[in-house]
Amino acid sequence: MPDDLTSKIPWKDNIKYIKNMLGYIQKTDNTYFLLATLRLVLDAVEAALVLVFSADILELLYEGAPMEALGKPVLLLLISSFLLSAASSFLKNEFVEPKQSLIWLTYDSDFAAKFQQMDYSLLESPYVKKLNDRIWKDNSWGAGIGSAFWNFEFIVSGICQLICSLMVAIPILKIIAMSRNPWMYLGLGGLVAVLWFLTKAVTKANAAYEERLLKDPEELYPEELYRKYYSFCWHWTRRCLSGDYHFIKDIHLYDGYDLMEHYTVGNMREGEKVIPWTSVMGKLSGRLGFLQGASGSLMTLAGYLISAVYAMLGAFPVGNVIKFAGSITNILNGIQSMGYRLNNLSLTARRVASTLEMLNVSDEMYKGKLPVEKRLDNQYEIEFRHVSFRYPGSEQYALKDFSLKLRIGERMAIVGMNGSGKTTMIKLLCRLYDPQEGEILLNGVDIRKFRQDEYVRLFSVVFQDFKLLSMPLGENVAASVEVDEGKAKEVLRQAGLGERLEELSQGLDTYLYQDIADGGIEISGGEAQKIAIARALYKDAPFVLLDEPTASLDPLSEYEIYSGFDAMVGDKTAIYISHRLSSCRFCDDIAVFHEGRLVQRGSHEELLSDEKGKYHELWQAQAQYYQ
Amino acid sequence: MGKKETKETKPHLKETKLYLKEIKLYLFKKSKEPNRAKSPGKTGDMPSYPLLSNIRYYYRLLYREFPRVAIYHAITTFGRILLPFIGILMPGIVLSQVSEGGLFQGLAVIALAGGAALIAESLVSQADSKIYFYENTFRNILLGEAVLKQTKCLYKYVEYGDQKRITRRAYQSMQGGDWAVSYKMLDDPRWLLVNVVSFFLYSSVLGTLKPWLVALLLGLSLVNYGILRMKNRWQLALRDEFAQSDREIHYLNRAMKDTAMAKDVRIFAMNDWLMAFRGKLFGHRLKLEKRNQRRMFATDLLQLLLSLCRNGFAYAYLIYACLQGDISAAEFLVYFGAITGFSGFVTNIVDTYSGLKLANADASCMRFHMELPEIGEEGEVPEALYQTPAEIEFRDVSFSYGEKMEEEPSAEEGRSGGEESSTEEKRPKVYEHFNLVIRPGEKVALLGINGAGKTTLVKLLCGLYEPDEGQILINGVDIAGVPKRALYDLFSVVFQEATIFPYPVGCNLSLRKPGETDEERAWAALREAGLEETFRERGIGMDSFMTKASFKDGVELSGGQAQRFFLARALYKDGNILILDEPTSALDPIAESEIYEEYVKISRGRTSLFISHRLASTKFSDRILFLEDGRIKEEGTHEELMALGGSYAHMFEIQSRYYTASGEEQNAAAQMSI
Repeated sequence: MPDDLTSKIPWKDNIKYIKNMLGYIQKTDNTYFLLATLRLVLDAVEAALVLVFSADILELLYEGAPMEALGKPVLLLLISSFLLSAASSFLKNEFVEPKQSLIWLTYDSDFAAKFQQMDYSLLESPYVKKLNDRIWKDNSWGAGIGSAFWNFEFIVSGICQLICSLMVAIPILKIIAMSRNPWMYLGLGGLVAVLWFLTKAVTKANAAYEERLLKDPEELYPEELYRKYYSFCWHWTRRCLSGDYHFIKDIHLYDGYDLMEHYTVGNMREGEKVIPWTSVMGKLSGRLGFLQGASGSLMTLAGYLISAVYAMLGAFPVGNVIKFAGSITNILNGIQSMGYRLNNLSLTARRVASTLEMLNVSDEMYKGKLPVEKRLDNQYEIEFRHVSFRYPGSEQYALKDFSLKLRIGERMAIVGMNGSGKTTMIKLLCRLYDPQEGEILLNGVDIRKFRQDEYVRLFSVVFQDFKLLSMPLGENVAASVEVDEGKAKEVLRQAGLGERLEELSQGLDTYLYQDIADGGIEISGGEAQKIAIARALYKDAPFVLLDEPTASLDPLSEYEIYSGFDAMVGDKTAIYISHRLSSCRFCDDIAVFHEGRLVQRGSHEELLSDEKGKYHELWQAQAQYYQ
Repeated sequence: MGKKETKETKPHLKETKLYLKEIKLYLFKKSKEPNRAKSPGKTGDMPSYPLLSNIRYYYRLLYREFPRVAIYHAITTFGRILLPFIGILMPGIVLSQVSEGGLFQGLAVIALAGGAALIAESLVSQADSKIYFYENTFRNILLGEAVLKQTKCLYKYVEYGDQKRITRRAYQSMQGGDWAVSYKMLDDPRWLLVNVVSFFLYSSVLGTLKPWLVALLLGLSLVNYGILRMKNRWQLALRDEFAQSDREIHYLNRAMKDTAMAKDVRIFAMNDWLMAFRGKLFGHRLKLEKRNQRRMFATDLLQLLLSLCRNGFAYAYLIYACLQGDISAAEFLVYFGAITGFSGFVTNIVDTYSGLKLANADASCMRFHMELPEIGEEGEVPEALYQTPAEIEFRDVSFSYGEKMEEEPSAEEGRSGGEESSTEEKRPKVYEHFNLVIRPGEKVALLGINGAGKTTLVKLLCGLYEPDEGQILINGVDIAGVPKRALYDLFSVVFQEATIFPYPVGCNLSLRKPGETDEERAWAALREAGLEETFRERGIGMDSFMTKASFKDGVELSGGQAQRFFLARALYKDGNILILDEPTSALDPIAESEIYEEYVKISRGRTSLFISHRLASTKFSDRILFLEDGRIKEEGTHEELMALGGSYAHMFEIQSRYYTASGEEQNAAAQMSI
């Protein structure tokens, strides 16, 4: 990935990025380039034929040829043009455009999917975060992989046009070369000089335009000004779009109307005066536009002038003047725009580079090959041995020298304050992260040595922030397209959704929410929890964990869910996390976490009897109100 | 600023012109549609303004913001009419000069005509490039105004089901980078004008040759129009299917990018499921694309046939006329160009117009949103309203969310996307003839299970909702007649989902513009809320931006600190009535207990209302209201309610048993409540 979009990079790197980008497209659809090129060749040939045949017609008209003689070129022109256009349209509609569309969708979707495919630990890593920020920037003012199609096709069609025009223009080029007229050479030399000058000017204007457009505003303006005039318009739009309107209540009740105005349109308008962006960008892009317009029409003019001079000098018949003018214009334009196109292609490639780098991010965790023994008796023993762990990019230990043995078939509750490492321990247990120090053992073997997919099969977790998808209920429970209907219904019933399931006319095929299906059902927070619990039961894993998915419920409902869940899991090993000590009272094994360490473990009575212990403190904080 | 956020921007304008066809294709498929996730049955609910009036609306807003853009618009419109005309005349001029004029005179004429084209082309291209950036900033400003409107309009519109859909569509229509509706409403009308004017211009040129030629061409155009209509109908027919496909694909992308789901995906090996779903969606999409493109090919073919006929006829007639000596060879070129150009204008007119009509539906939503009535500021405010401590009375209040309003948005766990429900079934009354008096200075605790209507009561009291029947009185003043801004002024509220704004600390406390916060008072509020030390230690000042939404060094607060911060905000405002809506649900026992203590301290001397799940909080209150199904089921002090032995006592006992009784009894309690 290049450092930024505007700095100069060696050609070798440029070519590498272009190769990567085109390589991705080729990999996604291996016939796109072939068919798109074929279509562009047809277009170019058609344009050349029209030029040649219409010149013939014009020529014959000048000669005063009879109607019959004109018939042949007219027919040839009409028919060849029709057939070539039809063939081109066929290729475009049948192949090129559907392929473009699918490649574009695949590219976007590959990127999104990567978040679910890479190691979980990478998601929060500084590297991936930085890459993600960068991708977001690279995608501003660009059309993603779509720009690649456009630029590729521009260049190919430019080359085809250049070749065809050269073939058409050979006679006049010969004449010019052999005319030996000093004035002519002088004129041509002058033209070349003007064109060279213009091309330079366009390139320069383009560089200035891109530099300004693509540079981070943080770099463009002094920091304090940038902060002062920062506008949050997009921040709020995004929040409103995602349905987060809660801030509006605060605005009303705290009279924040002026504040909101200040940090949105107010700053945008004021900022425009102090650190103008729109007018500067308008000026830069206006200059570029002017020069492009001027050079484009100058080529046309040059084409006309050159062929007019030669025609007047009698170098070729009058009828050919348009043909030669057209082909000369095309050649000049083609040469001049090729540089611009190539520049755009390489810019697109540099923009896409960050996304492709993300797609290629490789996993960081060691993945062992050892199969996990399938045991019908669920005799799995897990031990944390002197485990220390820090989250990526953090200085602080979330767990420090942590040791714990899980007893098979028993219930354990984990209690502790916010940030004491409860959820971290679960994440390590499920191998979402690897500890920096110490080891976690499954039946005495380091869990890193097992096959990841088989190891994860041992666990069912209902996280605090679990997610359900807007897809059929049954698939949500099975977390798969294949649903064992009997089993799915059974676990839903166990989770307490039996009645609701009966009401649904489409049963397990009912969509949740209405994100993609208008007929989807809205479910309450409580129902969502029950579905998440059913999902955990469906998996039928030997370890089940509840990580306080019930914070927003009243204490009674929470207790019911916890104890009900406990009855459902049977002889499996279960671990419960809750802030409310009352929810875990059916566990006779309670682990108390504090600042990343296991500070106490035992039954409620044992723990409570230690009046200096953390458990006593937590317990007292809640119990004081009931005494 | 924040201008770089325009996503999916097309390449520089130059290319867009050249690739107009492709862009149009994406207009239909890629960009507009993902947002238009709507079933046809609901279209009737959407507001609709006449197209012309909407165009005027957008132009007026743009010119108010950037008057100079009017000049650029004039240049490009005029230039775009002129340029093709020069383009068609040019070959004729060259040809006639070459065959008839002298060398220098001829070259001079060509250079003159070409020079005119050069200047026109340069100016048009310059103006186009400039317009793009002004319209881009205009779009950002418009989006900002839309958000502002939403904060200023009557709160009920924020939660109204129908209005929510309209507003949502308004926002969505402004997304999609260069395919946002504002560009369409500004650019397409000009393009339409160019083509209509050119159409008449060419008609008159051809009319000089033979009036019947124009008639004939018009006839051919009519056939062309028929083909285009068919094409549009076909596209329209597939529009909903494309919209649905986009909706599904976008949803999947959004879901997969959601890192909150990442844990579940790995634990439940959901990737295969997601990829299988994607495969299904893409397979369907490809079929849809092919179906659409085959129709496009059919219309292309028809149009090619039509132009074959037209060109054949043009050649035959013009050659005949030329051979007859009616026209010169140079004129032959001009007329031929005009005839072929003619059909292009018809195509453009039909395409642009039908595109505009589609965009008008979106534009109408945006405009409807922008014209929502705002909260009132005018009106008389009775002195009595501000007496402290305040007395509150609900007199015979009835309230329902009605058919259009959605149920109280509860904190939904496990929600996958960010969409809201749009349930339209009739909701039962939340409150019916509800009566309640809160005495001046009284501390009232509001209890009840989830969904008992506690938050609704708070919203009614603050004036965010309005009762269907009955009155709410503060110090004897009916709040229905009080301007909202004056009413809101009375309360210090901490909502369940309070927001920390991505603004500086000072602004976050006072919700005033920068420089308008009384810093001393702000620090005092932080001190009282127990945050001053933390802030000083971390070097956080009144100017430090909060949250990491925009600046990487933004201040982040933990759950407990955020609660204290909201408390400080309420303290800074120093409202007459203090309302706390379940502020501690995500806190650990110790943090929770500390926050309670703070609340008790600051509620002294004020009328205050606590909402909490935690029964323990009620011990601080003068009176406890136990709500069930919109009625006060039990009320009294803790002791009274315990003596009553009703629902409250039952709940309290079950909870307290764990904390007070021995192990044996715990188990008994556990069994009891399963």
